[in-house]
Amino acid sequence: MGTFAMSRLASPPAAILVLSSVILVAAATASWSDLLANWYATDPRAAAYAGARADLAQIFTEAAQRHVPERLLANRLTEGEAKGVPAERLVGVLRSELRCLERAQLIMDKAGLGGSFLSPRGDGTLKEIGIYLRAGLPDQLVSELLSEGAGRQGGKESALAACAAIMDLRAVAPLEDADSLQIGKLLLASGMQPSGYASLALVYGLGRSRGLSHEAVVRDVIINTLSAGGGLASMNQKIESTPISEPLPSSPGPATGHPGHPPDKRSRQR
Amino acid sequence: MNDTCQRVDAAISEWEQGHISDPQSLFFIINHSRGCARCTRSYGPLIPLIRRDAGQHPDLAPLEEAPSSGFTDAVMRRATRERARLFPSSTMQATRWVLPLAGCVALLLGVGGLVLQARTRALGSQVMVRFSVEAPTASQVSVAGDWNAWRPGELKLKAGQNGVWEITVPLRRGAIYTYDFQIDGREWIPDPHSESQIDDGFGGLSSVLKL
Repeated sequence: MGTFAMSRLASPPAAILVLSSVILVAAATASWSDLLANWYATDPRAAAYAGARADLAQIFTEAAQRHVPERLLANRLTEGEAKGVPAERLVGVLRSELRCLERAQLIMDKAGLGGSFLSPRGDGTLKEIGIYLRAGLPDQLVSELLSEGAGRQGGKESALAACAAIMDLRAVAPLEDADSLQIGKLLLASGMQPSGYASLALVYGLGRSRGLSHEAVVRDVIINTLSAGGGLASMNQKIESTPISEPLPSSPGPATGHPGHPPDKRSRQR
Repeated sequence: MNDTCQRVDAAISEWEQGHISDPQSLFFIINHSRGCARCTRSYGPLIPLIRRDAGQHPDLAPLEEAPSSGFTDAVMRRATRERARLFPSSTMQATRWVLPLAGCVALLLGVGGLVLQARTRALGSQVMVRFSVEAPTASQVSVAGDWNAWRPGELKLKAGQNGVWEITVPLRRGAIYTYDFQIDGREWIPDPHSESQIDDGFGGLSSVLKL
């Protein structure tokens, strides 16, 4: 039987079919395999990192073993190279990126987004969660929001949009983890469009510019409005009904230390 | 009816009850029935079952097949002739090549279709994003991010009025990106107007853009 099968495979027509299938599969995978080797071979600036090749190879091998997409590590590799960082620092950043993506994988698995043979895990989602973790969102918050959204129509997108909104909000407001989680869950439970979640940071800025305290904006305007089933319009009404006063001197700056921005000065128009 | 037929009757009776004292008796029944009209008439329908049992009995050697009557050979000869008439050798030869080649073409068309579909979908889900930054003293500004593997200088901004540099870049809707501006080919700065910026790990900040 085995000999029969081999002789059939060895016949020219069958061999063409098998060969073309192998070539197609190889062509599909070649572009993703061994990104590091390609980088060293094709990018002249990679020569500056020749001394770190063994360390980098070890990180990429580890990533492959743990099913972390090499492409996401390659993003950070090229970023570090473009910014001209020393080799040791690049290696350190890639190691911590790998750990971060592993945490993101765990979160996805927990939320039932681990993927399957027919529907593989989305690299885009993994990258996005990795960015939220890098931005300082607690693993538990991301995990709970994703689990909350899982099973609903468009739930994953809503949960990711909620994470993005919390990240933006925490960039301008010293938000506690518990408040962050509460706001995220309220956003998911609200009837708001996920695209509207991103406006929370603007609402916060607007409230603060009207002289409301951090607590007042977070508690009275955002949390209470969302709890009552209201949306952005209700939040705006609450802020508008507040008499204008001087901004508080203790107004907290952005969490990451970069300048905040009023809504009318957005540089990107989509 | 003779003694042999009586022995067959006894053996059949024994076989029917499932008690076979002498396994060779099964062969005896089969061989005798071939030449005895009476036993063939009486036990003919049972012979195939007895042959089966004789073939499966652990104490018996495999049952020898009856000599070919020539029927099988005749059928095969006829089938070969019919096949040659219906499918001449040239047609058979062509069929051997055509089917695998058609398979290859179908495979290529399928893969090509998937690629085309993915391209079309990607184009349909693109969104134009305008980046701008104030840099009145800069002589060159570019933007780079993980959408273009952080290739500096690839996307150069155009100088506008009041020292504002601008560029519009097609990006994928629903995706998230990190990016920075590069001033004069040296200094990297985050977008001062971005909603979020994160520590890039390299001693600076990266802007985050979720579309």
